[in-house]
Amino acid sequence: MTVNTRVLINDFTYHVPSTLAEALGFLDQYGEDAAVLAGGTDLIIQMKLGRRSPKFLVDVSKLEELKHLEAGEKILIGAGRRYMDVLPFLQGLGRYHGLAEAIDSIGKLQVLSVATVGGNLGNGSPAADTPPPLMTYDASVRVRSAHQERVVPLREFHTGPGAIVLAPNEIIVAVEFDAFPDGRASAFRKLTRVASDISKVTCAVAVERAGETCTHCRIALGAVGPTPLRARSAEAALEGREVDASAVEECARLIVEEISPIDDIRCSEKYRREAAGVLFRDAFASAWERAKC
Amino acid sequence: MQDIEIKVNGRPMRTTVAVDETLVDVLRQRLGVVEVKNGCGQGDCGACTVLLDGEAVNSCLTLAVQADGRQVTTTRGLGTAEDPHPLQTAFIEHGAVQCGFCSSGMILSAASLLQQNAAPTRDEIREGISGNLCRCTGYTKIVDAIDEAAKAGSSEERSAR
Ligand SMILES: Cc1cc2nc3c(=O)[nH]c(=O)nc-3n(C[C@H](O)[C@H](O)[C@H](O)COP(=O)(O)OP(=O)(O)OC[C@H]3O[C@@H](n4cnc5c(N)ncnc54)[C@H](O)[C@@H]3O)c2cc1C
Ligand code: FES
Ligand code: FES
Repeated sequence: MTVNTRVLINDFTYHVPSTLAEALGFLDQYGEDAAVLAGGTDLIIQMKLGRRSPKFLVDVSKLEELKHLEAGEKILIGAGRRYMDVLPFLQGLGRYHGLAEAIDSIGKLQVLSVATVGGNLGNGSPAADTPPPLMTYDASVRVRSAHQERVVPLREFHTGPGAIVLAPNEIIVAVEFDAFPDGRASAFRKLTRVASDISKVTCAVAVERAGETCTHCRIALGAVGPTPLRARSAEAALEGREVDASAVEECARLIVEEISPIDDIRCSEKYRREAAGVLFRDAFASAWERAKC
Repeated sequence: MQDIEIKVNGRPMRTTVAVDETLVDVLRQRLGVVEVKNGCGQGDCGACTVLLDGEAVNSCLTLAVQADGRQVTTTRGLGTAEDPHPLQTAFIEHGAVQCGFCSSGMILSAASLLQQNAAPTRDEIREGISGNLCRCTGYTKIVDAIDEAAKAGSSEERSAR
């Protein structure tokens, strides 16, 4: 069957609750039949393509409870905040370059104006751009249902391509991470086929340095496995070590071995492995330089 | 079916829509606002771009019910043939319009960009229109036009009209 993306083929009931409690009530009632609608830049396309056909749409764009932006001991980003609000917030804080670069890389005004971090996480794509930098921040996802609130470490959030730990009655409220100590910095690099395509490979790095010694290291990659993932052996190889060209090379080699990319229409597995090493070197160099000042 | 009211270029318009109708379809088919184009239907081409409460969105990914009570600006709302917006003038003067299918969305993205950044570099212009595809011009003339409109200080409050 050819797909006509000009029309939505499934019938649904549309709810636009004004409080989180009301939204959670709908999800509790409808279970698997409901879908949360934020900016719609993933969900509406999936519905047009016939990949999802929810009977109820719960629009969360009016929920103030999802719109917090807080910068204290923890940095908290409301799941319902649009990228166009989150980006200047991060740029104003000046320290969280990796996440800011990931959001900035989305580029298109029509996406930045409506799409949200909650949707980027909720979609569960291994190629999504915000999870790798957030993973390098040891971020957690704050999740609510009508019955409880739980905080899930982001590293446990994705369970497979398009699969996440969220139950059908849960809403992502926010993503949060500890404010950086002095001397920590981050960076993000991404490779796409053309500027506006889905990422082929992404790499995020967060480091802390004492002189030439790396005292803290987080490396995460996207689109190189079934979920966004941390390169733990590479992190371990750098942490506590004096950083020189050979240390970075060894680290890049470990990453190339540790990831599990696939062949697809965008590029081959082999290409993705090579590219991951290149992106890592760039991202690391940028974060390392930033950590100096 | 649900009754909605959308202010299109300042004019309140009422209509009854099904919840599964997208904004682009309601604008074109129910309200006769045909300067908004329906291209890919999936967020790739930007032909369906409108300003929703002043911000560029893809109307093919927006449900009409989501626009209830809000303001939609199309390229006709920016300026008319008699009184064109500086971006529209620059597009004509630079030959940035060929078949014209992308032009409405392109001009609205440019207007949105100039609202956020009155003096963009050429790279920033390219990034600002990265959500809009043009199959005719090769973009150079479009970037030239936006560059000139920006330099002429066209980001004044006209788009708020
Ligand atoms: C043209 C275009 C370009 C794009 N470019 C990029 C890119 O460069 N990088 C990138 O990473 N992505 C990109 N995307 C994908 C998409 O824009 C992002 O994933 C975006 O963050 C999705 O957010 P949204 O608010 O639109 O989500 P929606 O489409 O509304 O929702 C996505 C999914 O998350 C769920 N969801 C949303 N909010 C919540 C919540 N609070 N709690 C629980 N579940 C929730 C929904 O039910 C749905 O399953 C692009 C999309 C388009 C159309
Ligand atoms: S028709 Fe909406 S982006 Fe192509
Ligand atoms: S002028 Fe024809 S698509 Fe741009």
